[in-house]
Amino acid sequence: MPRDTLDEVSDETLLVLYANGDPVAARVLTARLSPRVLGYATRLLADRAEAEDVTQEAMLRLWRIAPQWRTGEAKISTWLYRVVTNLCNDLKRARRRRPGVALDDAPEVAASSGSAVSSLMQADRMTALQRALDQLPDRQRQAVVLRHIEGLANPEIAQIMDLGVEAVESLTARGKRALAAILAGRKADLGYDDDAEEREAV
Amino acid sequence: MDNDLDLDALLAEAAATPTKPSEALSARILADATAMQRPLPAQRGTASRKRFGLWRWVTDLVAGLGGGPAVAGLSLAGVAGLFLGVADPVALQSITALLSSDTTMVARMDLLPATDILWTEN
Repeated sequence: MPRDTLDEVSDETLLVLYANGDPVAARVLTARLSPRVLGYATRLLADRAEAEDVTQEAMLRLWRIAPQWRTGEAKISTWLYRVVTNLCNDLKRARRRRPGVALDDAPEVAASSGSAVSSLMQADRMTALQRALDQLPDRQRQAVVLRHIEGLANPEIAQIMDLGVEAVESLTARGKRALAAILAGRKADLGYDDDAEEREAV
Repeated sequence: MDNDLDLDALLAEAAATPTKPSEALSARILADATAMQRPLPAQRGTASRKRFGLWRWVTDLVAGLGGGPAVAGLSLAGVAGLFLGVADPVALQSITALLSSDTTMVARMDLLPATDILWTEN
Protein backbone atom coordinates (compact mmCIF):
# COMPACT_ATOMS: atom_id res chain seq x y z
CA MET A 1 0.00 0.00 0.00
CA PRO A 2 1.47 3.46 -0.87
CA ARG A 3 2.98 5.40 2.01
CA ASP A 4 0.90 8.54 1.34
CA THR A 5 -2.25 6.48 1.83
CA LEU A 6 -0.99 4.98 5.09
CA ASP A 7 -0.05 8.33 6.66
CA GLU A 8 -3.67 8.89 7.66
CA VAL A 9 -4.33 5.34 8.84
CA SER A 10 -4.58 4.60 12.59
CA ASP A 11 -1.73 2.93 14.47
CA GLU A 12 -3.83 -0.18 15.05
CA THR A 13 -4.68 -0.57 11.38
CA LEU A 14 -1.03 -0.10 10.50
CA LEU A 15 -0.05 -2.80 12.95
CA VAL A 16 -2.59 -5.20 11.41
CA LEU A 17 -1.21 -4.36 7.96
CA TYR A 18 2.31 -5.00 9.26
CA ALA A 19 1.24 -8.34 10.72
CA ASN A 20 -0.23 -9.25 7.33
CA GLY A 21 3.12 -8.55 5.66
CA ASP A 22 2.81 -4.96 4.39
CA PRO A 23 6.39 -3.60 4.33
CA VAL A 24 5.35 0.06 4.13
CA ALA A 25 3.32 -0.16 7.35
CA ALA A 26 6.48 -0.81 9.38
CA ARG A 27 8.13 2.31 7.97
CA VAL A 28 5.12 4.50 8.73
CA LEU A 29 4.78 3.10 12.26
CA THR A 30 8.51 3.61 12.89
CA ALA A 31 8.39 7.20 11.64
CA ARG A 32 5.29 7.90 13.74
CA LEU A 33 6.11 6.14 17.01
CA SER A 34 9.89 6.01 17.39
CA PRO A 35 10.37 9.79 17.99
CA ARG A 36 7.83 9.66 20.85
CA VAL A 37 9.33 6.53 22.31
CA LEU A 38 12.86 7.90 22.02
CA GLY A 39 11.88 11.27 23.50
CA TYR A 40 10.18 9.65 26.48
CA ALA A 41 13.05 7.21 27.08
CA THR A 42 15.59 10.04 26.84
CA ARG A 43 13.68 12.09 29.42
CA LEU A 44 13.57 9.14 31.81
CA LEU A 45 17.14 7.92 31.37
CA ALA A 46 19.09 11.09 30.53
CA ASP A 47 21.30 8.90 28.38
CA ARG A 48 20.85 8.98 24.62
CA ALA A 49 22.59 5.68 23.89
CA GLU A 50 20.55 3.81 26.49
CA ALA A 51 17.38 5.54 25.30
CA GLU A 52 18.09 4.38 21.73
CA ASP A 53 18.55 0.80 22.95
CA VAL A 54 15.27 1.01 24.87
CA THR A 55 13.52 2.43 21.78
CA GLN A 56 14.79 -0.40 19.60
CA GLU A 57 13.76 -3.00 22.19
CA ALA A 58 10.28 -1.49 22.65
CA MET A 59 9.71 -1.40 18.90
CA LEU A 60 11.00 -4.97 18.60
CA ARG A 61 8.42 -6.06 21.17
CA LEU A 62 5.77 -4.28 19.12
CA TRP A 63 6.77 -6.16 15.96
CA ARG A 64 6.78 -9.40 17.93
CA ILE A 65 3.30 -8.91 19.39
CA ALA A 66 1.77 -7.63 16.13
CA PRO A 67 0.22 -10.96 15.01
CA GLN A 68 -1.43 -11.42 18.43
CA TRP A 69 -2.51 -7.78 18.89
CA ARG A 70 -6.10 -7.64 20.05
CA THR A 71 -7.75 -4.71 18.33
CA GLY A 72 -9.70 -2.32 20.53
CA GLU A 73 -8.21 -3.39 23.87
CA ALA A 74 -5.46 -0.77 24.23
CA LYS A 75 -3.90 2.06 22.29
CA ILE A 76 -0.59 1.11 20.76
CA SER A 77 1.06 4.29 22.03
CA THR A 78 -0.16 3.56 25.58
CA TRP A 79 1.21 0.02 25.36
CA LEU A 80 4.54 1.35 24.08
CA TYR A 81 4.82 3.97 26.83
CA ARG A 82 4.19 1.22 29.37
CA VAL A 83 6.87 -1.01 27.84
CA VAL A 84 9.34 1.88 27.81
CA THR A 85 8.51 2.75 31.43
CA ASN A 86 9.21 -0.82 32.52
CA LEU A 87 12.40 -1.08 30.46
CA CYS A 88 13.68 2.22 31.89
CA ASN A 89 12.83 1.10 35.44
CA ASP A 90 14.84 -2.09 34.86
CA LEU A 91 17.76 -0.13 33.45
CA LYS A 92 17.75 2.33 36.33
CA ARG A 93 17.69 -0.50 38.85
CA ALA A 94 20.69 -2.04 37.07
CA ARG A 95 22.38 1.36 36.96
CA ARG A 96 22.01 1.78 40.73
CA ARG A 97 24.03 -1.40 41.15
CA ARG A 98 26.95 0.06 39.18
CA PRO A 99 28.65 3.50 39.19
CA GLY A 100 26.10 6.17 38.32
CA VAL A 101 25.91 8.58 35.43
CA ALA A 102 27.32 12.00 36.27
CA LEU A 103 24.98 14.95 36.03
CA ASP A 104 27.18 16.40 33.28
CA ASP A 105 26.33 13.36 31.16
CA ALA A 106 22.76 14.57 30.77
CA PRO A 107 21.97 14.76 27.05
CA GLU A 108 22.28 18.02 25.20
CA VAL A 109 18.88 18.48 23.61
CA ALA A 110 19.02 19.77 20.06
CA ALA A 111 17.20 23.01 19.34
CA SER A 112 14.55 22.81 16.66
CA SER A 113 14.72 26.09 14.76
CA GLY A 114 15.37 29.82 14.96
CA SER A 115 18.53 31.86 14.99
CA ALA A 116 21.81 30.37 16.13
CA VAL A 117 21.77 32.33 19.41
CA SER A 118 18.18 31.53 20.28
CA SER A 119 18.75 27.90 19.30
CA LEU A 120 21.67 27.71 21.67
CA MET A 121 19.59 29.29 24.43
CA GLN A 122 16.77 26.89 23.77
CA ALA A 123 19.20 23.98 23.94
CA ASP A 124 20.50 25.34 27.26
CA ARG A 125 16.94 25.55 28.58
CA MET A 126 16.16 22.00 27.53
CA THR A 127 19.37 20.75 29.13
CA ALA A 128 18.56 22.63 32.35
CA LEU A 129 15.06 21.14 32.34
CA GLN A 130 16.49 17.67 31.81
CA ARG A 131 18.88 18.09 34.70
CA ALA A 132 16.02 19.26 36.91
CA LEU A 133 13.89 16.28 35.82
CA ASP A 134 16.78 13.97 36.68
CA GLN A 135 16.56 15.12 40.28
CA LEU A 136 12.93 14.05 40.65
CA PRO A 137 12.04 10.62 42.05
CA ASP A 138 11.41 8.15 39.19
CA ARG A 139 7.61 7.99 39.53
CA GLN A 140 7.24 11.77 39.75
CA ARG A 141 9.49 12.22 36.70
CA GLN A 142 7.46 9.67 34.72
CA ALA A 143 4.18 11.34 35.65
CA VAL A 144 5.39 14.87 34.87
CA VAL A 145 6.94 13.86 31.54
CA LEU A 146 3.87 11.89 30.45
CA ARG A 147 1.46 14.65 31.49
CA HIS A 148 3.28 17.84 30.58
CA ILE A 149 5.72 16.85 27.82
CA GLU A 150 4.06 13.87 26.14
CA GLY A 151 0.66 15.52 26.69
CA LEU A 152 -1.23 12.44 27.85
CA ALA A 153 -4.44 12.49 29.90
CA ASN A 154 -4.37 11.25 33.50
CA PRO A 155 -6.42 8.06 32.83
CA GLU A 156 -3.93 7.04 30.13
CA ILE A 157 -1.00 7.78 32.44
CA ALA A 158 -2.72 5.68 35.11
CA GLN A 159 -2.80 2.76 32.66
CA ILE A 160 0.86 3.22 31.76
CA MET A 161 2.04 3.49 35.36
CA ASP A 162 -0.42 0.90 36.68
CA LEU A 163 -1.85 3.38 39.19
CA GLY A 164 -5.17 4.97 40.00
CA VAL A 165 -6.02 8.32 38.43
CA GLU A 166 -5.89 10.07 41.81
CA ALA A 167 -2.40 8.73 42.45
CA VAL A 168 -1.33 10.07 39.06
CA GLU A 169 -2.78 13.50 39.85
CA SER A 170 -0.92 13.53 43.15
CA LEU A 171 2.37 12.42 41.56
CA THR A 172 2.08 15.01 38.80
CA ALA A 173 1.31 17.83 41.21
CA ARG A 174 4.15 16.91 43.58
CA GLY A 175 6.54 16.45 40.68
CA LYS A 176 5.69 19.79 39.20
CA ARG A 177 6.10 21.55 42.54
CA ALA A 178 9.49 19.86 43.05
CA LEU A 179 10.54 20.83 39.52
CA ALA A 180 9.57 24.45 40.17
CA ALA A 181 11.58 24.43 43.41
CA ILE A 182 14.66 23.02 41.65
CA LEU A 183 14.44 25.61 38.87
CA ALA A 184 13.59 28.49 41.22
CA GLY A 185 15.92 31.41 40.86
CA ARG A 186 17.45 30.05 37.67
CA LYS A 187 15.50 32.20 35.24
CA ALA A 188 18.70 33.77 33.92
CA ASP A 189 20.34 30.35 33.58
CA LEU A 190 17.34 29.19 31.61
CA GLY A 191 17.88 32.05 29.16
CA TYR A 192 14.52 33.78 29.51
CA ASP A 193 16.18 37.12 30.32
CA ASP A 194 18.55 36.69 27.35
CA ASP A 195 15.58 35.95 25.12
CA ALA A 196 13.94 39.16 26.20
CA GLU A 197 17.14 41.10 25.53
CA GLU A 198 17.46 39.53 22.08
CA ARG A 199 13.88 40.41 21.24
CA GLU A 200 14.52 43.98 22.32
CA ALA A 201 17.69 44.14 20.21
CA VAL A 202 15.75 42.92 17.14
CA MET B 1 11.46 30.21 38.34
CA ASP B 2 9.19 32.87 39.67
CA ASN B 3 5.89 31.19 39.06
CA ASP B 4 4.19 28.14 37.53
CA LEU B 5 3.52 29.99 34.30
CA ASP B 6 7.24 29.95 33.46
CA LEU B 7 7.46 26.25 34.27
CA ASP B 8 4.45 25.62 32.03
CA ALA B 9 6.17 27.55 29.26
CA LEU B 10 9.35 25.57 29.72
CA LEU B 11 7.46 22.26 29.65
CA ALA B 12 5.48 23.38 26.60
CA GLU B 13 8.74 24.27 24.88
CA ALA B 14 10.08 20.81 25.70
CA ALA B 15 6.89 19.23 24.34
CA ALA B 16 7.31 21.17 21.10
CA THR B 17 10.95 20.11 20.72
CA PRO B 18 10.93 16.80 18.86
CA THR B 19 13.45 14.10 19.58
CA LYS B 20 14.56 12.91 16.18
CA PRO B 21 15.85 9.36 15.96
CA SER B 22 19.14 8.99 14.12
CA GLU B 23 19.15 7.28 10.74
CA ALA B 24 21.13 4.43 12.29
CA LEU B 25 18.44 3.86 14.94
CA SER B 26 15.65 3.96 12.35
CA ALA B 27 17.59 1.47 10.24
CA ARG B 28 18.01 -0.86 13.24
CA ILE B 29 14.28 -0.66 14.03
CA LEU B 30 13.29 -1.34 10.43
CA ALA B 31 15.75 -4.23 10.19
CA ASP B 32 14.06 -5.78 13.23
CA ALA B 33 10.65 -5.15 11.66
CA THR B 34 11.68 -6.87 8.44
CA ALA B 35 13.18 -9.82 10.30
CA MET B 36 10.01 -10.32 12.36
CA GLN B 37 7.55 -9.86 9.51
CA ARG B 38 5.75 -12.56 7.55
CA PRO B 39 5.63 -11.89 3.78
CA LEU B 40 2.46 -10.51 2.23
CA PRO B 41 -0.12 -13.16 1.20
CA ALA B 42 0.32 -11.99 -2.38
CA GLN B 43 4.07 -12.56 -2.10
CA ARG B 44 3.53 -15.93 -0.45
CA GLY B 45 1.30 -16.91 -3.44
CA THR B 46 3.70 -15.67 -6.08
CA ALA B 47 5.66 -18.91 -6.24
CA SER B 48 2.59 -21.05 -6.77
CA ARG B 49 1.24 -18.66 -9.39
CA LYS B 50 4.50 -18.94 -11.31
CA ARG B 51 4.01 -22.72 -11.46
CA PHE B 52 0.59 -22.33 -13.04
CA GLY B 53 0.06 -24.71 -15.99
CA LEU B 54 1.48 -28.12 -16.85
CA TRP B 55 4.23 -28.03 -14.21
CA ARG B 56 1.74 -27.11 -11.50
CA TRP B 57 -0.52 -29.96 -12.68
CA VAL B 58 2.41 -32.36 -12.46
CA THR B 59 3.45 -31.22 -8.99
CA ASP B 60 -0.15 -31.42 -7.77
CA LEU B 61 -0.43 -34.94 -9.21
CA VAL B 62 2.81 -36.02 -7.55
CA ALA B 63 1.62 -34.59 -4.24
CA GLY B 64 -1.74 -36.34 -4.65
CA LEU B 65 -0.07 -39.71 -5.23
CA GLY B 66 1.88 -39.48 -2.04
CA GLY B 67 5.03 -37.62 -2.99
CA GLY B 68 8.24 -38.40 -4.84
CA PRO B 69 9.08 -41.87 -3.39
CA ALA B 70 5.57 -43.19 -4.01
CA VAL B 71 5.62 -41.95 -7.60
CA ALA B 72 9.09 -43.51 -8.14
CA GLY B 73 7.82 -46.91 -6.96
CA LEU B 74 4.73 -46.63 -9.12
CA SER B 75 6.83 -45.73 -12.16
CA LEU B 76 9.14 -48.73 -11.62
CA ALA B 77 6.18 -51.11 -11.36
CA GLY B 78 4.73 -49.65 -14.57
CA VAL B 79 7.98 -50.06 -16.50
CA ALA B 80 8.37 -53.67 -15.26
CA GLY B 81 4.82 -54.49 -16.34
CA LEU B 82 5.39 -52.94 -19.76
CA PHE B 83 8.57 -54.99 -20.22
CA LEU B 84 6.83 -58.24 -19.34
CA GLY B 85 4.03 -57.46 -21.77
CA VAL B 86 6.18 -56.45 -24.74
CA ALA B 87 9.25 -58.68 -24.40
CA ASP B 88 9.61 -61.75 -26.73
CA PRO B 89 8.80 -64.96 -24.75
CA VAL B 90 11.78 -66.65 -26.45
CA ALA B 91 13.97 -64.71 -24.16
CA LEU B 92 12.41 -66.59 -21.28
CA GLN B 93 12.80 -70.09 -22.71
CA SER B 94 16.17 -70.60 -21.13
CA ILE B 95 14.64 -69.87 -17.80
CA THR B 96 11.68 -72.18 -18.30
CA ALA B 97 13.99 -74.94 -19.61
CA LEU B 98 16.06 -74.64 -16.53
CA LEU B 99 13.05 -74.85 -14.28
CA SER B 100 11.46 -77.85 -16.13
CA SER B 101 14.15 -80.47 -16.78
CA ASP B 102 14.00 -82.93 -19.72
CA THR B 103 13.52 -85.89 -17.43
CA THR B 104 10.26 -84.63 -16.18
CA MET B 105 7.36 -86.62 -17.56
CA VAL B 106 4.27 -84.77 -18.25
CA ALA B 107 1.37 -87.13 -18.52
CA ARG B 108 -1.21 -86.22 -21.07
CA MET B 109 -4.60 -87.27 -20.00
CA ASP B 110 -7.71 -87.11 -21.98
CA LEU B 111 -10.23 -85.89 -19.56
CA LEU B 112 -13.11 -85.82 -22.03
CA PRO B 113 -12.52 -88.61 -24.67
CA ALA B 114 -16.15 -88.60 -25.77
CA THR B 115 -15.80 -85.18 -27.28
CA ASP B 116 -13.00 -86.16 -29.63
CA ILE B 117 -15.49 -86.86 -32.32
CA LEU B 118 -16.45 -83.23 -32.33
CA TRP B 119 -12.93 -82.16 -33.28
CA THR B 120 -12.50 -84.76 -36.01
CA GLU B 121 -12.60 -83.32 -39.49
CA ASN B 122 -14.03 -85.53 -42.14
